[in-house]
Amino acid sequence: MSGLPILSILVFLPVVAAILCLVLPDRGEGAGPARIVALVASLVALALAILLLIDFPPGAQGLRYEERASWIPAIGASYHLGVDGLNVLLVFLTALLTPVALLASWDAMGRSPRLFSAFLLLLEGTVIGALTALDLVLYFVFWEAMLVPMYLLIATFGGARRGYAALKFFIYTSVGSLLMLVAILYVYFLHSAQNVEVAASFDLADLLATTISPGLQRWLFLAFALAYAIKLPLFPLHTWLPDTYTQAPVTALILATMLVKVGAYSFLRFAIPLFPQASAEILPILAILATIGIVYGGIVSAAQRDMVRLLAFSSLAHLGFIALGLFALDARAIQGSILQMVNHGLSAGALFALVAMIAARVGTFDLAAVGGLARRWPVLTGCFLLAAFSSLGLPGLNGFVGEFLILLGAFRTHPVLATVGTFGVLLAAVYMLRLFVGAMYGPERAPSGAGARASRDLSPRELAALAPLLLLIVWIGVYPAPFLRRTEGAVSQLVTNIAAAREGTPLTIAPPPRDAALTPPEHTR
Amino acid sequence: MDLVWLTLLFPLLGFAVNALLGGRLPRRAPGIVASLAMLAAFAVAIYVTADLLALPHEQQGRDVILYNWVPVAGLTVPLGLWVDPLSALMLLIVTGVGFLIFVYATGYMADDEGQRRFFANMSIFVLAMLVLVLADNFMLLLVGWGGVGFASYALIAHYFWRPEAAGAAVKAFVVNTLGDVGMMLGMFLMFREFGTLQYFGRGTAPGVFDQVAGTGVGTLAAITLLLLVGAVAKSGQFPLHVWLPDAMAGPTPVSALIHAATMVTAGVYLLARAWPLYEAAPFTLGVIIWLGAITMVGAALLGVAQSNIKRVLAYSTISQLGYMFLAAGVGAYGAAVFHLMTHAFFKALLFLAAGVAIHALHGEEELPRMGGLRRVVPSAWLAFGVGGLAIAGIPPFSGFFSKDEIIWSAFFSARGNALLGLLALLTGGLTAFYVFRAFFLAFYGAARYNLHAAEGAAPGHGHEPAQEHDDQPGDHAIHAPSFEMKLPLAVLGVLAVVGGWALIPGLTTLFEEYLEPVFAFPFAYASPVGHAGGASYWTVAVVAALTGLAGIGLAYVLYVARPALATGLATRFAGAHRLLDRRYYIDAFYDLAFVRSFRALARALSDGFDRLLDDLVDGVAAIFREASEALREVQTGYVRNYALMILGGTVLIFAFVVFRGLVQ
Repeated sequence: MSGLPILSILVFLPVVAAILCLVLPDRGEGAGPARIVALVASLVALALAILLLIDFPPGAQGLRYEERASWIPAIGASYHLGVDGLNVLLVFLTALLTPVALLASWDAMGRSPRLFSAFLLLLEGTVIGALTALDLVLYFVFWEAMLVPMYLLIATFGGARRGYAALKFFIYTSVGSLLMLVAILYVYFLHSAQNVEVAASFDLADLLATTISPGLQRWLFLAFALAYAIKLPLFPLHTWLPDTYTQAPVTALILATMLVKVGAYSFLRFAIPLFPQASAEILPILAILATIGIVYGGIVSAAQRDMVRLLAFSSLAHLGFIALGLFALDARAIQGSILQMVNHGLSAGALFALVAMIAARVGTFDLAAVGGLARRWPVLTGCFLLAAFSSLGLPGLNGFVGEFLILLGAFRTHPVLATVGTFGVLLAAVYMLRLFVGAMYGPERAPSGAGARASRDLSPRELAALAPLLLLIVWIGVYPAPFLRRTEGAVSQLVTNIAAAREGTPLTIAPPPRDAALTPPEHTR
Repeated sequence: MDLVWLTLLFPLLGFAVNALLGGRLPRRAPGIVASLAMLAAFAVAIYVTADLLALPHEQQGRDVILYNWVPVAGLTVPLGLWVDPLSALMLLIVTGVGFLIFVYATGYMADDEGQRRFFANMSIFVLAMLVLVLADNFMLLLVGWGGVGFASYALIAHYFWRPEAAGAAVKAFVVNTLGDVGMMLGMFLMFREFGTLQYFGRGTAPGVFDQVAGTGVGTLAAITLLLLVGAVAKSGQFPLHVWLPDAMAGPTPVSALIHAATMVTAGVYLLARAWPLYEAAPFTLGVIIWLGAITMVGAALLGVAQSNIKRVLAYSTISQLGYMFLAAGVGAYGAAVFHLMTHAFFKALLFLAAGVAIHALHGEEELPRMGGLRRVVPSAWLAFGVGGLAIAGIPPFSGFFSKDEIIWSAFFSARGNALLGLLALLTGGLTAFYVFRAFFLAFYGAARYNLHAAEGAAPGHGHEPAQEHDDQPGDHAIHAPSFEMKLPLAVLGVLAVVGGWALIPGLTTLFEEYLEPVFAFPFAYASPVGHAGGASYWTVAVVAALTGLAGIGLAYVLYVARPALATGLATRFAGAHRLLDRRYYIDAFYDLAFVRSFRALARALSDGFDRLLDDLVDGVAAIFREASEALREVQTGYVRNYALMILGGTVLIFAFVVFRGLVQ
């Protein structure tokens, strides 16, 4: 498969299919060929992504499947895609979650299945684009383009306050992005000023060679970090998240959780390697915010009555773990973080799907209005149980491996934060059981007039949507090695590079050598 | 020995068959499948143990690695199983006693609608416990540790439609997760210190226990205390014991499994397994000794005041585990493990016997509504009596030998003293008293039960009664135990008698020799405990046996011969009785200090602080809007246009500054 431009196909197949969906007709409520076209396209993309994952050698360092083409030669922007251990799992996850989201949304696409399917596919294409782009202009284009289908999904198919939520989401996340754009331009000009003999370039590999003074790095890093911190989101920049999640169509969130992971991944790909000294300085502060997010998200989640809002705040807590692992700059913690991004995609994806399935049966997301539902749907209950315990990090399932590695690694560099973060595991047990036990156990209760669907257990279609997620939840818990091995090479390289850069030469103000204390002082006469 | 992984496979199969295709099987199939799987696992356990014992003593510790579980940069955690006499013994107890409980449960749960779910969860429970005892490293230990927490949650919530069952399940899981948090922190610190999570070295890489010497006392104290939090939570020790009595909300076989084979013994196992760490942390040992002693005495006192027969047994478990912690604390690890084994026999027996009585009375668990069952269910009477004599420490029943070993160590070990010894001795008498109080109340005196009432009181759900059995309406007869319920009673009864004979000072040293490789090899520590025997041992033994007899005698007087005296005492010491009845107000305190305050905090953050943050953001947006309105240059009436304009302006300003900087 070396000759195949596999990454370009993964980006543009969904986009082309989306355009096709747009021109296909809707045939009344929830019918029409568009969603079938979308499903087929997403399954083809998934097959390619699985091939990519299998073909990607475990332990490999460096980029694979690179594609380069001249794009805007006038400014040195090029079309450059590639994968390595940092993003290969996330590309696979995006390709997996798209058909899952389509299947889970099958009957929930409202008036216009063609629009719904098209927006989901556009989201897939732009997310994979942002995940694989290695040229900063290309990356920025995808980064901004991701917002469009999400905005349209909320604005078109959202809840009662969709207008407010969509606008808030768009403006909030744009503010950070624009500062990042300025920082990208700055680095670009700096690079071309330093390397007058070569052509100007936006390519990441070229820009990494730029010498930036520590003082300047600080500002540039902050500009990048703000964009990513909003996207993640980091406490206290999370207020767009609950509104967006509760107003968006719930089944779309299965895929939309990938948006926030692009923010996490971008730290690893861009902000930290470009500005290593600044990240060494500032990441400990961000790690504090990440830890606050773990605790704060956990506590606030436990107070929610709305199931989706509860899951939104639980996402804040989970992304706090992921961010803490990244910011710890320890190889184990970063590998744990990347795995945890996958885990969160699986468990949150399954939970959003399940909550949507429950709401489709009882007509409400309100925990106070339901109870004892386990009696009605044993299969749904079993799936919910597995997803909930995966999310709370039960040892033996996927979430545990990720969280354990994150905290184990973070404990080496930030013992206090890791200790506080570990209590997030306890909070997760509290809010997840509040969700699961609140809805499924106790005396049976549901709003009356929920209709005939209320008694039906999972349909084959719903089971098909959940099965791959649940299977991976168990697999990664029992045998995470194939996934971890694929991230090891890139993460080791990253950590080594950062350590070298922090100690290293291209500094105007050199820090005192770290082993100064070890060399015996010379006596002067 | 390399086949040890089969012991994991069989319960897994028992789970998979029930979870995935049980719906298509005949009604009784789930229990039979799960029991056969347990029998197969037990057979493998015997084979593995025999294989192990064939090796010379110094080679009795084998690492069986199945695959690399978590390989990351700078840390490789294998899915490895450590087989030595300690884990082999646990393997035998878990699969053997577990098998008997499974067989019993096939009869006990025969009419339950949720059998499939029940046996699937029971199989997972055993699987998790086996992972726990076989793990060759701490991370894998945690998988078993969390797994039993999950399985106990699912089984306590078997009757999930009952609010108290759901509440008890959540309570158990949350308290156990608190323990897990402690364990995890202990492991992180351990990894920081030793760079590994393996118990023992592999090849050239040293394990945790190999690196104890030369590590700071403070660090070791921190590691061991953090691990202890997990052990205390799992083993129901004060102050994290609160979940265990509530766990009675599950079916009785679940209680037997939790108390005898899986779950609560895990804490004691951890202390015995990690003894090289604990021996090097004197401060932690002191904590263990006193937590154990407080739990031992405090829970025994609570046992006196319980009216529910299963709760009496629950507090007796907590108290007996206190003995084991005390033993481990004073360095008598062998005695702790010995008592763990005999306790598994007689506590499983007691629970299953109580289950027969409860089953006979259609789910009645309250002692005041039992009485006179000796003639009604003689098998339960006999079994409870044997179990009672064993736990009371009456010779020659098993509990006598294992408990005396602990009492003697509490007196005469280097870390023991007279106070600890006396407490252990007196608690023995108290144990005899409250267990036989339950025995006499249930099996002697006049029959106080009303089968009509028991059924009528059931606030059932359609056909599903609140009590544990799907009774036919109009069924007011006593339910006689079936053969599959009686057989385990017989086997456990024999074990509860003879189980202690494996270690009789001066006569047999079977058990001591068996465990010797674990507690001697390869670490050179001088044991703080000498070999039991001689005059001091037999003096303690005689006094302990007499104390036990006195306890039984007192119970006989108060609950059979002169019942009026008991009621008189209860009214006379109403304050003390109330304190015990309310479980020292510990649950009430936790409810106020943690549950309610947490809820209040969560609500305040959610409705107060988070809303404030949100308003702040909207406020910033509003300021921009006001500012742009002031300009009144270009007005389209759309908020988004203003916002985008403002953003665009910001970019222009930034770009200007940047370009000027570059040009210079």
